[in-house]
Amino acid sequence: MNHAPSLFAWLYTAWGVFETTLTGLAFETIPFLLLGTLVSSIIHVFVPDTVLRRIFPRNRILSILVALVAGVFVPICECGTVPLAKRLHEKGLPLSTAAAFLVAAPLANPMTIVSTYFAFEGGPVPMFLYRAGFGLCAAFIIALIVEALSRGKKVAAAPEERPRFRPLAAGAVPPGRGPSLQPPRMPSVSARRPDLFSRLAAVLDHTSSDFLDSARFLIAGISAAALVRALLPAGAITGSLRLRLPAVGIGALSAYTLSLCSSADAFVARSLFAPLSYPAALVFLMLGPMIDLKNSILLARFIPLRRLAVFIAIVVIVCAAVALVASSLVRGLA
Amino acid sequence: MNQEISPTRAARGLLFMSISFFFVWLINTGKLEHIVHPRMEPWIIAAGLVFFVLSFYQTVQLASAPRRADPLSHFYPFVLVFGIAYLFVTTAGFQPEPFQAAPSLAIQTALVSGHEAEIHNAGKGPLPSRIVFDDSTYWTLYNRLYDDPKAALGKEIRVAGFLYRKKGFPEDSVLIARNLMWCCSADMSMIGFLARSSAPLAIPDGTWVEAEGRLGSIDYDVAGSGKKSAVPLIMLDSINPARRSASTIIYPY
Repeated sequence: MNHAPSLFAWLYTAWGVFETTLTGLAFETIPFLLLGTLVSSIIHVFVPDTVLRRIFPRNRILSILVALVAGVFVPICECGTVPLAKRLHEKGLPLSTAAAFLVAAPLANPMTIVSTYFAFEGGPVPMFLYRAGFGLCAAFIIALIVEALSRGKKVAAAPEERPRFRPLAAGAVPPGRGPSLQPPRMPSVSARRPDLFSRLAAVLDHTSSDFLDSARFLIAGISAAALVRALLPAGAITGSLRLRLPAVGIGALSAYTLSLCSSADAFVARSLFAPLSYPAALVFLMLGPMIDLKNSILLARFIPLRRLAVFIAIVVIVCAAVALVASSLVRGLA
Repeated sequence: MNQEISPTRAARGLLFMSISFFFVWLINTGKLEHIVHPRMEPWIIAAGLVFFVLSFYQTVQLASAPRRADPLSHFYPFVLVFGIAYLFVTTAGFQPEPFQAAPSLAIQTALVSGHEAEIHNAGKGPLPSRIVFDDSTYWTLYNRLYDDPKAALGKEIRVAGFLYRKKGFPEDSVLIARNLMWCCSADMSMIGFLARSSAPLAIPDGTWVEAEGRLGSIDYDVAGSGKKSAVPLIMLDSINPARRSASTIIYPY
């Protein structure tokens, strides 16, 4: 009987945490998802595949490096990079290049770096440099692994861009020309390029449908993250941070479940881990922007679950390994 | 002239328009600052504008079939999340209720942060004999006092905040708390100063108060790690319910 009030109080508290977290994450992610979708639609409609092929070299390693550099200059959070990376892949770029952009952009973009600088300002280690440097190394390794796993697989084309041929009706071939194995000659792109208004309308159409398609999964993701936060027992995060390996594990688990925005996670990392374990802080800062609970559910919209599980495992293992190596090599991070 | 209205277009237009107006309402009423940091406002405005344009486009195209039809169930998650957001800002969302700050994680986070005190923009020079907190100096002074509580021993202090009692607090002790937001309400945490009065305090939790007293220090296990360390303690001379300041939230960055 005495449990009723405490259960009610616990539910009340849990609901408060859930409501607060869900609202915050929704307002932090939905605008960026919308803007990312808009940019992705603009690329889809206005940027021909040939332009992207000119920007990204044919050599896949160089292409990954270009994607890493491009990611540094895109001021958008992890939710916004998902539709962008998807679009780059649909436009014909290798999966490894899209993966490099996906993991590098939220990690090393200007907003993230500046917030990390302020969060660790005055601290014993220049964490913003370590985050960007080691994070990009981890992103490069992840992209190389994706490249090795996806080598030889055909690059996906956007469904809208596949030429559609109607089967020829009987008698449609003029007599004397005979059946041909050559595909029908398509009109050149320039000859049938739609006017600006139609293209703008196409951008708005794509943005509307792509946003609605992705946002449902993002909302499922942030709901799951908010639920985990609400049910997380006190002290579960910090646990034992004295040993390096468990600390890195706790840092990785925290980054994945808390699903914080990459422009704010540095402050939480500093508060949670920096006094106790810099390796945990580093893995938290590297892994969180690359993959977390809310993003996993969003990515599940585009990637088959088995492949997604492999991708998550690669990201987690690489980030943990890089954090462990970094803490062994760099004084102050140990 | 016999064109039918597309239900998908109608639902999309209505949804985008509602979100756009919701953003405008949040900005106009100032409630947005209780959900996200003010520096996020330009992004919200940009997104609201895009939502409005999308809504306009869907309305203009009402009679044409969309690329893909959306079943009604695709819209439920939006109703859910924005419904909860509406509840958050209109009910307990930014009231000084202790539950809102995710106490399990947040209070220890913030207090560790303050105590570790690698100092953000810490004010320079000696502390004045009378320390008065306001929203713009709160974070700086908070860090300085948690960094070295002994340096402020005996100084007069005046601080406002809402009362919060943690389980296990002595009857005569409270936390005079504020919410701290780095980016959005998801990372909001509770920070504050322990205060002790000479008599049991009858003021209920969540009440906005102004307190005056002298600074002492106490060994306290702020991180719940079993390790006690010195934190500031206000020996209260007076504590009174007061008119709440415009925001309960401190934005340190």
